[in-house]
Amino acid sequence: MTGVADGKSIAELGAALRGGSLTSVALTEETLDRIDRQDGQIDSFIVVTKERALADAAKADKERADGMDKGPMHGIPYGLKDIYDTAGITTTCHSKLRLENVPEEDSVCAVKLREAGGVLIGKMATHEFAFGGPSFDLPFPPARNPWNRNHGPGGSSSGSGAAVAAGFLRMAMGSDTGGSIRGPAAYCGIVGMKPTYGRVSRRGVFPLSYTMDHCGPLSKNVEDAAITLQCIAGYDPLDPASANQPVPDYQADLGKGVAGLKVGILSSFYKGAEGLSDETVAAIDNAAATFRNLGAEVEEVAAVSPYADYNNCGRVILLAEAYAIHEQDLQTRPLDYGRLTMERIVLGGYLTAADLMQAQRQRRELCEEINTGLFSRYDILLAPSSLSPAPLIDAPQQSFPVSWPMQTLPFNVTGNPAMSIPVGFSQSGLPLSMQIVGKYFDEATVFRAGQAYEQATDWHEQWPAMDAMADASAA
Amino acid sequence: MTMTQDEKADRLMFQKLTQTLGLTLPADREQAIFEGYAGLRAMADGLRRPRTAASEPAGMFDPTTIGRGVGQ
Repeated sequence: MTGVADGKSIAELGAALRGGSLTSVALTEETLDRIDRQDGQIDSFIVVTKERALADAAKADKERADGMDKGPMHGIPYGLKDIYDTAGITTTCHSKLRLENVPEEDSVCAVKLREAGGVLIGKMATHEFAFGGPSFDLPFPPARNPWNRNHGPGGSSSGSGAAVAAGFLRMAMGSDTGGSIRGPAAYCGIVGMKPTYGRVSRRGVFPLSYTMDHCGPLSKNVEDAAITLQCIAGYDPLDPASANQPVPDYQADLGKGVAGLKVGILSSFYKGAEGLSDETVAAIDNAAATFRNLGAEVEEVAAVSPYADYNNCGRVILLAEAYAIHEQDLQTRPLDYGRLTMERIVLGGYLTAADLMQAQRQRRELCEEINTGLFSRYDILLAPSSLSPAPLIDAPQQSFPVSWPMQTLPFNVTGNPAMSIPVGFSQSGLPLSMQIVGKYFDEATVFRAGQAYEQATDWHEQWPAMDAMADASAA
Repeated sequence: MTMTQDEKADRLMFQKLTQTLGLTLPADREQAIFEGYAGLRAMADGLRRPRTAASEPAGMFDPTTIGRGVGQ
């Protein structure tokens, strides 16, 4: 990394802004310049809101000069997945169906980040409607992985993951229904935080599955994620799922370490799974050893139910709810969807009411199993985010793959907070990852554990060679 | 390729449901969707098993009760 930002965290950039050695306008101009030079390699943005960004930045600088400090996001550039409504700015869901959609109001997260003084740089690529991708039959190209552009960045918050990993932004917002924050974070080697269901308002964010959608940040490190969640968490009476729970200080426990923390490695979810790479197993084993060295009590643990129960339950609920949302458009204009999106969402129509209710009954049991069962014995659980590194972006995809490399869906089913962090690299140079799962509304312990691991390793300090990639392309 | 009686019955059920849903599937996508339907059907059928009253899903969507019994 070179330039004004130079790999600095949100907190470090904030300190530079407060100390007067950096202005938000300079930071924003450099960000825009970097995107202009390099995003053609990874297509992480659908639209760059240059005028808005420079206006936001100038406003932040003036406010600061006038003695106003809105907190750690004041003057910091960020991006929004293009399913977050933004007043006066198109919100396309990466789909032909919504190319002309210009919302009149901001989503709640956009409001909160604006009120915190953040600088909106643009809207990020996504899998269509947060579900179908990577696809090449949509109005915009799919985002690519900055570590190797021939590989996918994961989805569906694909542009958010790619832009943060590339160093364009410290943070971009994503959404997670089956792993769409943690997946791109895993494949791109960054941090992805899915908070507890109900912790962050989803109002103004296009839904995929009402009872499994979560909003959260993808960021370069754990502290960036904690700062962002502080801005966006909180009760919203107009979001039916929003939880009226107190929001703690997420930075308060950072740096307290993990000595004495009870950690369960959820080995029954992944050991022996089809497609599990040896490199992933080794990375998780090494991470467990790191936690032990830091003083945590670590042991392997088995869930009562097999992984397949979580997977099957989650997929039935997700598809039933997604179909209900898209039913009319699937009946009247199915060919306006990308092929993969259409072939996936339409399946929900074939489920019966009894199928959905049986899945909900299973869901209740799985929630109990994780929370009354495992979380009565452990403070956090660890598992891979994905069984293997990022696949090729043009690898053939089935409409309904029976198995899936992502290990993220169980915690959309149960609603627990779960954060993906980088834990190494494959021999081919692609990131490996692990998720840290916490008790309901205990994101603070997840952050604390993640940061302790992060400080003991240097995976989060690695950057892809974006300059070399752009130079090679230019040559 | 010949189909077994079961496969024929599955295909007929799929076509009947497609019609009931008011969907018009493009010919070049029908096979992929049918295969997905069969996979999802097997998945959903696997969720049918004996359960107790504790699996009652009421209150599922209230985040303060989603983990009933956890002491929240």
